[in-house]
Amino acid sequence: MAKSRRWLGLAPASIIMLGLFGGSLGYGIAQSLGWLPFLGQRQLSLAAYRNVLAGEQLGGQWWQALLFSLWVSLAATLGSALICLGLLSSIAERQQQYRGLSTISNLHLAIPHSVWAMALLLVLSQSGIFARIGFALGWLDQPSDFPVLVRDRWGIGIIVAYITKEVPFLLLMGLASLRQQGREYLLVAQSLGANRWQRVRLVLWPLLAPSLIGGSLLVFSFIFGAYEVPALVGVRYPEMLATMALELFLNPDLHARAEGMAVSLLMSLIILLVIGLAWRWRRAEQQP
Amino acid sequence: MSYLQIEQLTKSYAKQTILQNINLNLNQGEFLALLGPSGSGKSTILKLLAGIEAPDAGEIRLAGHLLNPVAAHQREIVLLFQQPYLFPFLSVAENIGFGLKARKVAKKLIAQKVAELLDLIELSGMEQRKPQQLSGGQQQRIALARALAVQPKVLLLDEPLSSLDPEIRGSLQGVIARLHRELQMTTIIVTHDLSEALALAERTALLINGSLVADLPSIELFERPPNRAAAQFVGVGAIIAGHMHGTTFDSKLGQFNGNFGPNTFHVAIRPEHIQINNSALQPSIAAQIIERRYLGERWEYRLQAAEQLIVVREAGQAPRDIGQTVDLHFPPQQLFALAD
Repeated sequence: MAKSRRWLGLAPASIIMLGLFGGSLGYGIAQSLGWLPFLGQRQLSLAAYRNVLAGEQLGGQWWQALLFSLWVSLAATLGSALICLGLLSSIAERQQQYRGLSTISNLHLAIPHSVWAMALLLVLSQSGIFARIGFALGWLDQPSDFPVLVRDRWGIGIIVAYITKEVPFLLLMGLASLRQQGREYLLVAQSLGANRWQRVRLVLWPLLAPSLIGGSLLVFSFIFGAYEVPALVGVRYPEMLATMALELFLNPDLHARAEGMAVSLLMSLIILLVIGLAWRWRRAEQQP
Repeated sequence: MSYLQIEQLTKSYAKQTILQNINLNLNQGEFLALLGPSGSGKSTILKLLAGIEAPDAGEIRLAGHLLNPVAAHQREIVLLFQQPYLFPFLSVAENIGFGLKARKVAKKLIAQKVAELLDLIELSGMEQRKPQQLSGGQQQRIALARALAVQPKVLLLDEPLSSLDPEIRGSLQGVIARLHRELQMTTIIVTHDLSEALALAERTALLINGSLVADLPSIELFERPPNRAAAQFVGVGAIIAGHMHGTTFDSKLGQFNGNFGPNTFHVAIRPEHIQINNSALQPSIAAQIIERRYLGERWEYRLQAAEQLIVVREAGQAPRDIGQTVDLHFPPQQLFALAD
């Protein structure tokens, strides 16, 4: 009785959530299967998926974009997590610095990704502030001699933009774990004879791992699926999957919407796969 | 030469002096209680000894070696905190073996040591449990075993029992006393509880407002605190102001015979040594009961006599009435002088 009441209590929120989320997901799946009633197309098929994965035109573009997206997402996620771990290791035993770092991180989080990417463009591009300073100081013969750090084919600009944006997010998650007696655990370890490296490896990492891994998965999923930063500081080739999906979706030829939806859904499947693997790995690690 | 020497130790935080010129010496195997009210600087001394904080001035020496420049993890002084702080991601056995693992001791030896210590703290069979599966008392025992595992040269206990229920606290006091008897480890316990200091430590140093006001065998501190600050902290029946006239101490309450010394301006007596309504004993002082409370085995009375507050503890009697006037007798041999 109590159980059914609990479900009944959750029903209004669940219905709205399922309606909105399930409805759009269902509509997206239907479009990816070629259900495009506004074009008079109502027959379902896997043609869009075939085109995306093995089509003459899109097939190569998909695999290239997939590899590029995985590279950018993994590099930016790992880079953010490592920088975050390094920063937290350096301040973990100085609790008085938690607040300052937390304030800076919160302020930084308030800056939208697109604004941050544009700021990086202004600073790091070959006509940007750093290039001009280098030229003014005589370090560069021409501003264009400044290394290509944005709109480059390796996605360095995208990776830098994401790392500088996601580190504060991961820091906040890590600080939340540290605030729960993190400093005390480190003091205990120190008193028991653990040196600085042992304290990081044997205490700090196990304390931070759940929040950092969880946060990193969120960061990975976000970067893998986000559009605006690659659009601003990336190049047209290679492009990321999110850019490819949006371009297909906005194509004047409305038939391309099915492929756009197929790319989006395949991206979602990849993210779910990564989360599933990470979850299994954590579970296996937690087994005695 | 003492095993642990603390000389002129001083520490301030944000211009507020927490410790001022502390001098303390400990022999090897000795058990010292650092007693004092909250904020008196007791825990700060432990942090300075453990190397978690650095002193502003003063020296700490262990077996003759200056510890000031030695990093906390190399001091071989282990601090047990008020909370057990067992690593939540490790099992009981891994927690106990943590310090040994940090010292790169072989796994087999760690397992052997863990089993020995679990036996010593009477928690054998709990190796694989996680800290969350233990009671507060069990967690504190594991924390104690974890500290003992590395066989520290000095064990520091920072009010480790204060967050526990009275019953568990009593049983853990027994465990700590037994372990000290068996291992003879040099130990300092910080406590604000006089009874805990008396139960555990052979010697007690009393710290008030960052200064050491007494350092005596625990029973002596309780029976005859040496000065007013110590007397007020340990609780005496009365602190009587007056001055010496030959071998007589003159006060508002009357004259007391005793060889208190020529510059004595205060004498005191323990509350359980003051006798009530024993007409055979002279001199006696008339006092009025203004308050009473039952302490379990004794009644404690607060009385007023010549604007002097007096506390008396009396065993095995039916309670006396509030407002009643009684005769108090202060046995001369129980009075002692207090320094200012």
